[in-house]
Amino acid sequence: MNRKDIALALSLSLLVLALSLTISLEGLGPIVPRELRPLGASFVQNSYNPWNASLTSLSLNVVTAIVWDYRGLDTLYETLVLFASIAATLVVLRGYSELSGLGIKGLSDVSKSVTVVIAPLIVVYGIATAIHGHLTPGGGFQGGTIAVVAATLIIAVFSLEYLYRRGVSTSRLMLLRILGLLAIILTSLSLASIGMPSNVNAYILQNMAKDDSALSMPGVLFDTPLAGSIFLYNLFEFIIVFSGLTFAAMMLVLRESELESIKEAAEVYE
Amino acid sequence: MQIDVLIIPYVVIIYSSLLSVFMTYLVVRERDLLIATILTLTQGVFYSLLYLLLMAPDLVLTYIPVSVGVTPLLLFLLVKKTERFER
Repeated sequence: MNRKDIALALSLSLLVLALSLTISLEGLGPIVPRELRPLGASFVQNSYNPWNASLTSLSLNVVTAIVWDYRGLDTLYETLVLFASIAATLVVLRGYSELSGLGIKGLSDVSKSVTVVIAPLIVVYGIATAIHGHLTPGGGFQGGTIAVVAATLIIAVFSLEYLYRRGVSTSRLMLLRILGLLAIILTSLSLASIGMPSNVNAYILQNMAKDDSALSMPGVLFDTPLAGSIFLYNLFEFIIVFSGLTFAAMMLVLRESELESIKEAAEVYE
Repeated sequence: MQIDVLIIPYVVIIYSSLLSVFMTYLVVRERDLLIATILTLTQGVFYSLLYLLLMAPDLVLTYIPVSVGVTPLLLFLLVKKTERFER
């Protein structure tokens, strides 16, 4: 046992000690600013404030309220950037073909049975994070990335062939992704398109009723705050991120015989 | 001597940020790409701990699946398709 091993063991044990101390003291560290700046104070006051109906978004999670309501256009453009990056992988690998029947290899039986138990739990946790985005920390993007872990695990453990046999193909995922993006755009236009024929003031990306427009998304479902369009945006963003990143993962593990026709496709374009 | 309990998160922040820098150095120096991927994973764990202590739970929820789940798996698949040792 040399000096390096001792240093490694000491630093690891210190880390475990620090982690356990932090977790047992508080869930989160008490590093909170004692005084809020005016912008932060206005967000905290208005994000869930039923008495100030013209500025509230009825979302208990302030971050989600900012991301999808007060700064909704930014997030829409972020979604489009993700869309463009996935389309770029499609452009690089254009001309690929999906061949099933190349044989399933996969990993050992132990990892397969563990994955069968874990993967549905991960997906359920991701969906819960996404559709509770207006109540607890999280949101569509977070939930989507959590669910993608399950898809990547299945690809790594069961091989791509298993997904083909279950009816998951890259073209279907792309279709799901485009439908999700369309749903987000339609949700952002919905109140404006309702208001326009009946000559009522309404805005694009509007969530709750404003001073000069009485139209509003549903704020409460039975007794649960729904936060109107934020819930819908989180749901559709979950679909977009999940299908998009699963699509990218499937593109990266395509087999060699599926990529043979890439060169011919590239020559046709040149 | 009375130790102020509130100072522990700050100590953990300093410790994990220093260790993450050290991990980055190890990742750059490592010739075995499989071990380098695992070291990247540990660095991701330190970063998510930093986000948690700096009161950004939304970022933690994105960073843990990306840095601990998706990126190492994709890098493992990449190493499997190419070469394990850097020349």
